[in-house]
Formats: sequence, structure tokens, C-alpha cells
Amino acid sequence: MADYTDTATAVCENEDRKMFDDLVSRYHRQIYNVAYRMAGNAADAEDLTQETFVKAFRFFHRYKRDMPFDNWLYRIMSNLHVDMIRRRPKAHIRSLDEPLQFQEGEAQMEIRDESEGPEDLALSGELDSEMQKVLNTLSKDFRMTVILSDIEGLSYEEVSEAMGCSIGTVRSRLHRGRRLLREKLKPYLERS
Amino acid sequence: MNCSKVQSLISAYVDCELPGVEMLALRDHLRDCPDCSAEHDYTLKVKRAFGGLRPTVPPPGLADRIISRIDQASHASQENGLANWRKRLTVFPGQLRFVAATMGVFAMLLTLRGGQLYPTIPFPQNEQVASISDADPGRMFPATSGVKYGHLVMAPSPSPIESWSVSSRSGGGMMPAGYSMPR
Repeated sequence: MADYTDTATAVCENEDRKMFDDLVSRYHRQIYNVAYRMAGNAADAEDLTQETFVKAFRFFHRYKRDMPFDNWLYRIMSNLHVDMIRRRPKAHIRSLDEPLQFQEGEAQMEIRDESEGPEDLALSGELDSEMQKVLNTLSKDFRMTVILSDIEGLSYEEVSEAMGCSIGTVRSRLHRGRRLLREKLKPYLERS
Repeated sequence: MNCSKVQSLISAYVDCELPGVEMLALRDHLRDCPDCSAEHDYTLKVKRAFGGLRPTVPPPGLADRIISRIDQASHASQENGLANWRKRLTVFPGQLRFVAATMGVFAMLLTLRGGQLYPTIPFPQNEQVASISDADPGRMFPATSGVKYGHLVMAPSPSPIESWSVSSRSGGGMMPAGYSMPR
């Protein structure tokens, strides 16, 4: 009986593992994309992606099958990203609005003014990097909300599920986040 | 619906996340209000700009590296489980030894007392004890006549009555026949 139980458990574990490996193959690009937008660089994005899947595997038995798997991964990633920021106190995010302090006085940071049009910038990938820089200036909750809604195309209900907050909070964060982005991207948006 | 209210709802309007009545009210307002209409256009541009970002291509072999990390993590958790059990076992050896020794002594005592914790031996009548002690005062069974267990010497006792005697070595107290105090 004990042997049978052990074998059955082993078979279930093997099946879970096989299923999980399939999920890794299916979702790793999507998760990496969001991780890249959250972290802002490739090295941190890969770390964040790997940590997300490892944690998801550890708690796979707690995954409720009625929730989309990617939404569950976003939720794990959101929490892990907070931990990652906490572990690195030296790497702090500076707002573009925050003046730089010098001995001679203060100076305002500005996004480089490009002479090319948005289409050309988009083609060369520079607009992409500028938008990423602007995205990095948002707080992590605003950033995640904008990424999930505008880049991943999730509905408010799905974002609220992935971030563990109410739909009203999602609406408010998105409204304020877009307003901040709009101010910083105004030069590009006016040209387009 | 005034401009302030409309501008707070524009983001949700752009995402079509408002109830039908509010969607219609906003649409009517935007048609007539240039300021709110400009706000709407900017919000839509932001949404489209981020929605149009090219998906970031993951570095090659990322899926394999993730699977390899999961392998390492699951092996590590199995080893940690074993290590925890070993640790639990090594935390108690002194206590386990003490418990085992106590149980061993207890078992030995039980064996010596015939498997009973508190043997129910009927207390003899004074006359019978006196008569036995008078007949053979200070009688001690020779050590060679019984079975020797450490300091205790047991001798076969013919009857329950005869098995009690008064011993001067036990301070005049009663003790079963065949038992003598060690010298």
C-alpha cells in the first residue's frame, strides 16, 4: 500500500513537473517582456523571470486553476520585484522631476530632445528606450498597472486580480500613471 | 457632467471600462468640449504609444536556464528536507540516551518484581511473623541457595506466610523471605 502511494505521488509529481516545464516554455517570453519593462534592464529582467518561475514552481500546489496562469505569474513577479528593490538599497529610482543638487545650486534633469520624428525614433528603437526611461520614473505600482494594461492589454479586472487590489485602485493608478507619462512624453506626443 | 468629472474618467473611457450610461455621457461631452477632447487625445496617444512597444526578445536559452534553476531549487529543497531531519535527530542524542537508559533501568526493575509495578502482597499477621522469627531468629538464607541478582539474593519460598521474616539488618522492618540487604 505504501509502495503504491509512493508511486502514485511520484507519478503526480512527475506529471506536475512536466506540465510546469510546458508552462515555462509557453509563458517565459511574455513574463520576460513584463520583467524587462518592470526592471528596465536585461540582466535584472532575466533574474526576475527566473525567480518568478522558481517561486511559482515551489507554490504550484497553491495555484488556483480558475485563475489565468500568466496573471498568477504577474502577481508573483510584482511581489518579487519589491523584494529585489529592497535588497538593493544603493540602486534607487530618481524621479525626472526631482532637481539634482550641486554645490553651485540645483539643476533640472531633462529627457534628451530628439530632432527626429517619433516614427524615425521608433524605427531606431530610441523611442522605445526613452519610453522605458520614462516608465522607470513611475512608482512600481503605477508602472506595473500601466505595463499590464497598456503593454499586455489586460482588462481592469485582470489587472486587479494580478495585483491584488480593487478595480477602483487600478482605474486611479492608470489615470494618474498615464497623466505622469503624458507630461514627460509631451514633446514626442505633440510631434506624432 | 462637468469637465473635472470627465477628465477623471477619460482614462477609463479610453479603455472602454465605464458603464454604458457614462460612456455615452462622456462621448457627448467630448464632442462639445475642446479642452476635454484634447485631454482625451493625449491619453489615447499614451495608451497607443505603450501598446505599440515592441515585445522584448528574451535572451536565447532562457527557458532552459529557468528549467535548470527549478531543478537546482527542487534538489536543494529535498536536501534541505533531509538535512532538517538529520538535524532533528542530532539535536536529541543526549536526551535520547538518557531516556533509553531510564527505560532500561525501569524495565529491569519490572522484571525483578515479576512484571508488577506495585505487587499486592498480603500483609502477614503479627502472630505468624512472631512465631516464624521466634523459631528461627535472624535467619538468613544462604546466598548459594537462591538465584543471585546483583545485591539481591532470592530464595525459593514455600508459602506466603513463611515468606516473611523479621530481619535485624533491615532495621527491624518487614521484608519478604529470601531478600537480604547487601553487606
